[in-house]
Amino acid sequence: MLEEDTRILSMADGESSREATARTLRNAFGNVFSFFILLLIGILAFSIRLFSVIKYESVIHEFDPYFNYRVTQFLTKNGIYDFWNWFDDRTWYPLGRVIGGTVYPGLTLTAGTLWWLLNSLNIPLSVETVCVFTAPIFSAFASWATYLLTKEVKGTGAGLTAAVLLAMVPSYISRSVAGSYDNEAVAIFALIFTFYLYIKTLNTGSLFYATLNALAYFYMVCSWGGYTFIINLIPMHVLLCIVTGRYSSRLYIAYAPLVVLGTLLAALVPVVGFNAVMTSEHFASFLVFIIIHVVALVYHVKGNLSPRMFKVAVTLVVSVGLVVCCAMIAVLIALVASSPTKGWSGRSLSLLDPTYASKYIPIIASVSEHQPPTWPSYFMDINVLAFLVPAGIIACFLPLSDASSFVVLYIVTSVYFSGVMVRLMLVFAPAACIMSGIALSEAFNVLTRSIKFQLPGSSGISQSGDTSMNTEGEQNDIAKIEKMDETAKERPSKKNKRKEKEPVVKASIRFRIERRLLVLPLEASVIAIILLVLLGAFYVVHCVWAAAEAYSAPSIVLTTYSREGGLHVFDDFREGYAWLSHNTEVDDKVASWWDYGYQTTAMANRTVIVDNNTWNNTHIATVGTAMSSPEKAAWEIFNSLDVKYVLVVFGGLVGYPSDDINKFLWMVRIGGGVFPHIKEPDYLRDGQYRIDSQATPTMLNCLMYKLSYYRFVETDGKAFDRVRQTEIGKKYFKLTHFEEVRIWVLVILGIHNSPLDGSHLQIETSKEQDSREDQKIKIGEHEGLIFARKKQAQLLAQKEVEQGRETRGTSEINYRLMCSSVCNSYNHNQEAFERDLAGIFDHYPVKGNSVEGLCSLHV
Amino acid sequence: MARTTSSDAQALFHSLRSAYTSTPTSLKIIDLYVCFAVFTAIIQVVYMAVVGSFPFNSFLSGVLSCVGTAVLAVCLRIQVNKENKEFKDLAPERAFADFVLCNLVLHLVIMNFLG
Amino acid sequence: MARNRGRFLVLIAAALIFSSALASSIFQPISDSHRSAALELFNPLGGSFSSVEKTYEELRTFEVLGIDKRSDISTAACQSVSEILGSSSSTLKDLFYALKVNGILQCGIKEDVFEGVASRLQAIVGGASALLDFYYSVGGLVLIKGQTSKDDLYLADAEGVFRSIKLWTTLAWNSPTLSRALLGLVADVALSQSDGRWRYNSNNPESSTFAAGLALEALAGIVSLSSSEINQSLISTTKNDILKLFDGIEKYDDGAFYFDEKLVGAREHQGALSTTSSVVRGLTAFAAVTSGSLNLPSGKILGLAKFFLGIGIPGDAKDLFNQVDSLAFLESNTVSIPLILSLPATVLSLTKKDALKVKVNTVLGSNAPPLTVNLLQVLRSGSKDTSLIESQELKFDPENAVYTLDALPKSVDVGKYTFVFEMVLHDSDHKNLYATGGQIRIPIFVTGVIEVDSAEIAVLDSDLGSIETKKKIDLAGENTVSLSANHLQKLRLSFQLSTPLGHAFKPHQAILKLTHETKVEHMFVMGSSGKQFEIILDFLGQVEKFFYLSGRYNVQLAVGDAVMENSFLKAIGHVDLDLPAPPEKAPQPPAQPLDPNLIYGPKAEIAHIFRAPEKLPPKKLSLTFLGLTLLPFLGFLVGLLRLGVNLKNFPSSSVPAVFATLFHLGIAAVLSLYMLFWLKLDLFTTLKALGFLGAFLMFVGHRILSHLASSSSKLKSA
Repeated sequence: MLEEDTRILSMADGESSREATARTLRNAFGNVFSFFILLLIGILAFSIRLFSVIKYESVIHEFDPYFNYRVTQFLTKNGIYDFWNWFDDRTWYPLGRVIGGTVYPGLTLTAGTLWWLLNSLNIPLSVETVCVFTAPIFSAFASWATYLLTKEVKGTGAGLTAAVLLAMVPSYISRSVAGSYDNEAVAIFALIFTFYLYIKTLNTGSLFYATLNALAYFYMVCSWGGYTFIINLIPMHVLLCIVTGRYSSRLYIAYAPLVVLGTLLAALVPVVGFNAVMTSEHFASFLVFIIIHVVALVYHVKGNLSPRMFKVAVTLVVSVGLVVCCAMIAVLIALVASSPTKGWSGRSLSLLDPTYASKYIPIIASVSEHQPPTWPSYFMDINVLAFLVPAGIIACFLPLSDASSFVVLYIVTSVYFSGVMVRLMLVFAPAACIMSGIALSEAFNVLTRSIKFQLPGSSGISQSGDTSMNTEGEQNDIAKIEKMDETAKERPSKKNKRKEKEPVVKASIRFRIERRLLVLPLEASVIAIILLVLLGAFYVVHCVWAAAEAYSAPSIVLTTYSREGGLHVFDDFREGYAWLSHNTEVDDKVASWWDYGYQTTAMANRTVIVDNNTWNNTHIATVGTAMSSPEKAAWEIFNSLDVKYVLVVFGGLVGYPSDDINKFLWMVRIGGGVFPHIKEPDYLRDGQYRIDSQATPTMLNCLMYKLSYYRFVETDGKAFDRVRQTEIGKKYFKLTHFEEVRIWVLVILGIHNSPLDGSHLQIETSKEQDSREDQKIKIGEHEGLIFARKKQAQLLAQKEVEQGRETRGTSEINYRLMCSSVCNSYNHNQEAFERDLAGIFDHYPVKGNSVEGLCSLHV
Repeated sequence: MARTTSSDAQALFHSLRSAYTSTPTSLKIIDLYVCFAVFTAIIQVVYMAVVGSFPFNSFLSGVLSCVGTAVLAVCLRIQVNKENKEFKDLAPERAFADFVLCNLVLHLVIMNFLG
Repeated sequence: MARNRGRFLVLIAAALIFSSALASSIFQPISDSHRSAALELFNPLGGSFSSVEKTYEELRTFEVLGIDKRSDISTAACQSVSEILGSSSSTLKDLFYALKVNGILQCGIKEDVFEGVASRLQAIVGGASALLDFYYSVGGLVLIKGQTSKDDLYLADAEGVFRSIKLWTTLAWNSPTLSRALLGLVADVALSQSDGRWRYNSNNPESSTFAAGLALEALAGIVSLSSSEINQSLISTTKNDILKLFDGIEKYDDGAFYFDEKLVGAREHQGALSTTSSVVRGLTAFAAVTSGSLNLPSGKILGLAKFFLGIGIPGDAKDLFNQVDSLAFLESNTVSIPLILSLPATVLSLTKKDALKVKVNTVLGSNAPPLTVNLLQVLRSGSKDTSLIESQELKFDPENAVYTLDALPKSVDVGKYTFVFEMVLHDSDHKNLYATGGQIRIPIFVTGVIEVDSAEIAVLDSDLGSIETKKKIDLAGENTVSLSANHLQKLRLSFQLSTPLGHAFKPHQAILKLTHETKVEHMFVMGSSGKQFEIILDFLGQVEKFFYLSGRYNVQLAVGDAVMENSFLKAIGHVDLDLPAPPEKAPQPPAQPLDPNLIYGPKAEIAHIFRAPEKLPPKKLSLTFLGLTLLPFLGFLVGLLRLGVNLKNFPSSSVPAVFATLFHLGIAAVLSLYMLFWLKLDLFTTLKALGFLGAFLMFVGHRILSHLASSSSKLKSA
């Protein structure tokens, strides 16, 4: 690529043979230099994402990555074919889930291949390490892809600038720090690369690139559901070109093979399957496919007809074409109408109509990253780029080529989508980077030109050179920008040569621009350069800060500052999952809200009811209903799902905001969406969600409230919730059907009271608690929970007696259960023990019933 | 009026034919190939309309392979066309190599999708 | 251990037998059932037994029971016996039992063998301090004496005489010292305890009754061995010991006596059976060799006999041996021989005029000496002892040795009775030779046909007992009464029962059963006043219990008793009840117990649901379309011909031609590879192969195409 540039350049600068040799030298120098710059950019993109590893440790981050990690482990262990038809029975109990057919395999396959490659090279890295570092590696690739794309649009300088910007754009960092092993990490690279290949095909018009383009599209489809963005954006661009009369046969070559091959390849991915031709996210491409054929025919005919004959032909052809188009449109509309949900899956509908999700699909709306973003988040994610983008758009319009029009289209659509979903900021960020890269490079271009034209040439060069030198000394990012501007300087002349193909109008525009550039005074341009450099510096500082502070927290390990300002690291998630995996039976079922499903299956290796792959709304609604119904009803629901443990995350003690109480309204909505007896207003006191004494009785009696605040008051005397910043409404209550087995600061595992396991589990916990009480002194006031037992086994036994299920076996079990519970309560608090013992001996005539006897039996 | 349009149409077709006779043989071959592919696709679509599209992947791969070959052939025709100014610097042999490559990829996918 | 447990089980079984026998304390003497049991229990493994002891037990049992099976195992047994006696390394116990076997089987053992054995035994006796050593060695000597003394009658030749004399002298020379030594040792070491029990050896504190039995046997042996008269003081002390031992005897309350170890769980603990039998052996042996009676109450001897008989047929060989062996000793003991009175049938039917039969035997079932059996009194069970009859004598029937009372006394009605017998021996000096055991109480069931009459069923109006419908029932025959009642009415069923003698009879069960169509059953117990049995069901009070189930109820009456020969369960008919509609929260009728087949039987077959196969077009249609798809291809070929396609552009020079052919071949290869991929290969193998083919194709294609390009450009330039 670079070599070709130099060749063109060297051919280009014919007009002054005196400078020719020096200039070719400088170009070759510049190209090699830009290569090294690209290398540096890659290193930068990789290393800026390692803050999480440095500050915390090399772990997989929050929720979905754990699922991907688990799938990758399965892939590396069992091979590709088992992976394709893997039926996972560890999740969605009792339904199970077909993993191979419902997952986007791109990321997994990539990491798996990476791992296999390394091992075949005898580099023994663990799968987890590979997974952790996949995202940074691919962000480096992404920045290179950005360079290529922007270079196709506006040349090398803009490309390098855009690459630098993208290497450290915060919104992309937020998804691709080391350890966030998620689809987007790979998908963004695939996205940009696909676009690059499209533009490349558009510029060169060779079938070879078209093929590569289709393959890249295939990789994108494998990686992310966002591929629909591509398959809608490219047709839009094609349509745009046709409408603006920029149809060329290169456009046909770039588009038509992509549609056919791309559709076929997409249909190969199991999770997409026939959707590639059935759902109407893809219909736009087919429609444009037809249109472009008609247009191509028209142009062809026009090509070999005399104008007069053509006038006649147009009437015929156009009318025929119209008829055909109408027929096609009719067919399409019929298909759309026939297909369910008008062929649009919920997420894409919520794209078109931002209020759709919150109206119809609470599950989609419940995810925070599906919410519309706020302005601060724009500034946070792409800070100065937000101001550079308009300039970039303007720069793209002079002159407007196919490529630049595509970029403009890209940024406009992605701005809209990012306005709909926070998550799609990710799609928006590269566009913004490209735009502002173009803007910056153009600006530098203009300014340095003006400087150069006002100084004698050689000195100008040397001057700009030593400016680059000394700036390089102070800050190397600025140095990069300088260098970019060095290389970007040659754009106009080169563009002149290249644009000879294009209509001469542009060239004249070009000249006028240059003439306008020349009048810039020297001081103004120097100051402007410095300002721009400062702007870049500010951006860099912000990005580094974002990478270090904001986005590198692996949300599985938490840090919080206690009142006296000490830093506490809470590893309670992992502790809790480890406890599950060590202290429960292998095939116990754990119920929790779906956020924690993936982690539970991956870390605790226990069967969960629902997880983050929200494919079955009803099932999730069942859990939501259980969480939001009173205890007895919840007990019945969980019993029917033979759940044995319920996992609740509660942050009120340490001020961890995203806990289940804050998610609770979504549980209510989702549950109420399916089971109408759960009504949202019952949980709201005149429209607002509160848990203090003003809360509704339904709220205060629902399972979630009880599990979360069970014996919360024992921590500090007044049960002050540090997240909601209020005292809770109902402080002293007892659990009737559930029983607390384990409390960490964040995680409460309520054992769903089942006769058999009760006994030994409680013994377990009574041991655990002692150790915890010891630590309590060390760790401080967060550990204020002392574990006193309030047994409900007696109630359970009574229930069973009422239900007449008291066969001898069960009664003995209950008896054992109650004995053990009594013993624990005996070890912990006396009065509860007295009550329980009385309860037992009413029910079960026991011989020689001395407490010590019983407890020696069990403790 | 109608008469004039019909005469125009005849004139049009006449000029079209004359224009087409002037196109070189290789392009004609490619056109023939395209027609062949398109007709095959049409027949398959008719079959689908008659008996329904049960092995949907087979139907898709059948039709799309025809359409794909047609499209690729059209691309080839565009590239090797002498009158086309955009591809002066592109050698027809290079275009043919790309064509072959693209076809091979296409049919690999087709075979995979055929089930 | 297992054997011990087995024995315990047997004892538990025996205890059960006794406890059931409290009601009927009848002991049948040894009968053929014992013999068959013996033949089952003793089954020689491969002709010979694991140990000589077992062999002896078998032979002894068979001998007593009079089964002649010794020919089967005699050879094997004799061989092992001669081995044991011959080898000097064989243990004392084996020697002892070998001698016992020899005593039964009479396998000819040489004198010198006996001599060697005798000298060994004497040596052992000289140095022995443990009771078992004395027991085995002394017993062995006694056996040798018995057998050789039998031998020397027919030993004619001088050597044999010499040997026997020599043996005799050694024995005679030895015996006094030996006996003195032993008795002294017995006195010194005081193996004998104050309560008559003995210790196994001096350093083992536990005293055991079993050991006492062994000791007695050993002492008896010594006494029999010692030619000279040993001083009576020791004999008398031993007799006192025996009396003391018998003070510690235990009894079941049906008059069975037995010995048991005091402390359970001692090291070599013997069950009650073996303990008792060892005591019996010792006692009888001692009594046989000592002059003068040790004045034991004959009742206790009889009680011992009852104990052994009460066991019935034990479950394992050891117990059977103990039982039979000690019974044999009791049969021929010198203290007192127990006589057993038994009845062939304890259930007598009044209607069949059964006669009361009584047999008297010894324990082994041989006939008793002449005696008369008196029926002293007949007691109605449960009532106090007022005899229904005065004493009368049973008539003796010589040929089958049965005493009969031909007519039951008139006053005896159906029911349960206790008959009291006693045996009176004719010969006076038999009186202290035999143990008759005074009065013997035996329970007797007297059954008969109870007559049922004046049975009737009626439906009454509730408020005033006016009879609405009344049906007579013949409970002897079939009858199907059909009644109908509502919840305001009552159902009355009544009948009378009377015994053959016309007394009132109260059966064990008199139950009225109502069964609804839905299998819901209701039981009612009939109350009685004198002969009259009557029940009145007030449906108004019963609606709750009837679960408000209106409809047809089948009525059944069950009357039954042990002494009632005509117990019956009769279907009387059915009642159509109409009960008020159930209020809500009325109790649901209980679920019917499930048929076990439903629970444990095979489940119903699971019907799998398969997706319906897509409808496929007729084959002809598909084939025609396949043909149609070929048409465009033909069109294509035809079109090519009409265009006049030619291959003149194909490179003529050799190298490019080769490359060109290779190029086309490569393409063909790739396509065929795709075909294979479609047919059988999987993706990755295909991709590998494709990689190689692709590289080849790229190379070749590049060569040929570049050649073509250059040629065409040359042509253009030219």
